[in-house]
Amino acid sequence: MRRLIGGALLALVALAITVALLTGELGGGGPFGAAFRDMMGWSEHANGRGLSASALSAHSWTEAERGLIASLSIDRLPPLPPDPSNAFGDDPAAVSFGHELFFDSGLSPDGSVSCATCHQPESYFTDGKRLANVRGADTPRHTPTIVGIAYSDWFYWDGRKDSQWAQALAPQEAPVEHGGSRTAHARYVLEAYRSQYEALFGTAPDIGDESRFPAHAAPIDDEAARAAWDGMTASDRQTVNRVFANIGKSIAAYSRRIMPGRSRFDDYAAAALVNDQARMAELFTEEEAAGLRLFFGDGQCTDCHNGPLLSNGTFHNIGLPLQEGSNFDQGRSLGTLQVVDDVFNCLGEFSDADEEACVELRFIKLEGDELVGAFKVPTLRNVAETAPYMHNGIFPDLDAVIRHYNHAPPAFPGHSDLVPLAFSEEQSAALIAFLLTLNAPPNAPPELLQPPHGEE
Amino acid sequence: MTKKSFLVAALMTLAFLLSACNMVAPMQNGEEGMPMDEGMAMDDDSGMDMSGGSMAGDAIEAQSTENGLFIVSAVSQLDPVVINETHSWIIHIETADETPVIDADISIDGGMPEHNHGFPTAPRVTENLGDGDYLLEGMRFNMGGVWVLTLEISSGDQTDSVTFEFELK
Repeated sequence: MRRLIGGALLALVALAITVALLTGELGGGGPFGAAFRDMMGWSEHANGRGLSASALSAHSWTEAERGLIASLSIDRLPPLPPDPSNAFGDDPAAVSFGHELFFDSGLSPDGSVSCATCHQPESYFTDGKRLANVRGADTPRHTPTIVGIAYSDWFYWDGRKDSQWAQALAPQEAPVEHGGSRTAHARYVLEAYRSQYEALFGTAPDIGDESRFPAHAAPIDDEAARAAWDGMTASDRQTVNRVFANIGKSIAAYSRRIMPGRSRFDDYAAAALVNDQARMAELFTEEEAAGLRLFFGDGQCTDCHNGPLLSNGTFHNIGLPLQEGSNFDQGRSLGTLQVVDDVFNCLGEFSDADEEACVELRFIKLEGDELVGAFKVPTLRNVAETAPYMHNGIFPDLDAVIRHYNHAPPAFPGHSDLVPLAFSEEQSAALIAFLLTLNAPPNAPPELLQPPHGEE
Repeated sequence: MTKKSFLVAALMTLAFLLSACNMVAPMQNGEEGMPMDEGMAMDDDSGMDMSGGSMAGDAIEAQSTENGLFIVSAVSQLDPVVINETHSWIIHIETADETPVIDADISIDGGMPEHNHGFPTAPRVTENLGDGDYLLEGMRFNMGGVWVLTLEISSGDQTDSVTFEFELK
């Protein structure tokens, strides 16, 4: 009998403590109750919603883990800092002008290629192709997204440009991309957009004289264009370079505005920060949460895919296979030399930055084995929407990507920064499930996500 | 454990909880100006400031060079140090008898030995600030984990080196 009473009393006390804690009666719902619930993995919102034990454990994170999850959230993305090398980068007139130029296939000799040919707004500003390809010819690299790219210090997979505006110039003269030349594009823009150009950059130079400003002249591989460029006076070349740089600065003013949107993961991170497990369970399946755990845990993905853009913005060799028939791509070890020599770099005469502001270029790493075959870590925001993957588009889907990370073959030449994950099928599936939670439409004024008014 | 002793333990727990709640009860009504109770805070601020790799700017303790010629300190101008941001440090060098070393040449090396890679940048000393202080620019860390920073210091005909090891958590 005593045992019975004892048992009943015990049950009553336990019930009373539980009820008091959960309802907040004990201590008026004050800090201790909250702390206790926190400690036990319960949250205010879990109250009465009947989370299963497995759901609780799936969304149960230590304080350090919650800090780490929050560090990946878009809520931690700082406002976009100005680009000191582009004085027009945040000028609304330049945004509008750049918007038109971005979609204008007049910036190609046959009128068939614009920036938007490969950076398609409806495809998260990528093209879905293994390698960028216009007019039926492959380029050596896969089209990266430009969403959120304004936060980068380096542009292109090998970082051979150090500003968005300098980057925007190179495809215009690449034979397998726009295929144009700076004299042709300067002339075209000054004719087609004269008033917009002058409103931003002042009186346009007169480059109408073809004896001084040949129709196609540029310091590029094309022999005729190069000879024509070399035949111009230094002063005339500078005049053209100035107009060309201004075209790039306008395009960059537009593309700077294309920001990543808020994904389901970001809502989850906000819930994780305040340890709201019921909300976390609403937002993520247990598999997605398990994938997140692997992402920063055993997967070590956050070594490189860290911060709110899930990229550390630097260069790593991950031992990727070559596309059939292609040669080894040096990646960053060549890109460093190119950016240092670029006439349009931060320290150059067409940059608006003081030398002091060109920190990345001044302290660029030029030596080191780790540069060989290294490529820029891409953002993982919207990764599910930007297949194929890697600088050479070697992997058609995320399954293939994870298989590579599971095996992590050694790199040759160079050394791979990967260690084999050897994840089970279940773990690999969870990791992919997590990656899918990073989807979100770009965050930009709707009019910027389509061709300017009046164009196709 | 018998049921009786379990019951006693449960009652004691209840008593403890009630007393603890009384103890903190005033905090709820007087939040303004009330200092945080030292023992009760579950959320440590430093923990929630985590950036996926950070440490206090002055986290590194002064250290003697390998052969004891110099004592070197290294303090980040970015505080806290966070990943993915290029920033500067101030290096201070003095001799074992605490005389500032004002004519040092300093070369920089370092990285993540465990990952077999160096810094993502090429940091270097750009300015002698006087009084044994030197400006080290171009420092950057691109991931959390254990990093090392090695300084090779020459002053007159003497050379010595020091390696700091630290973790961005």
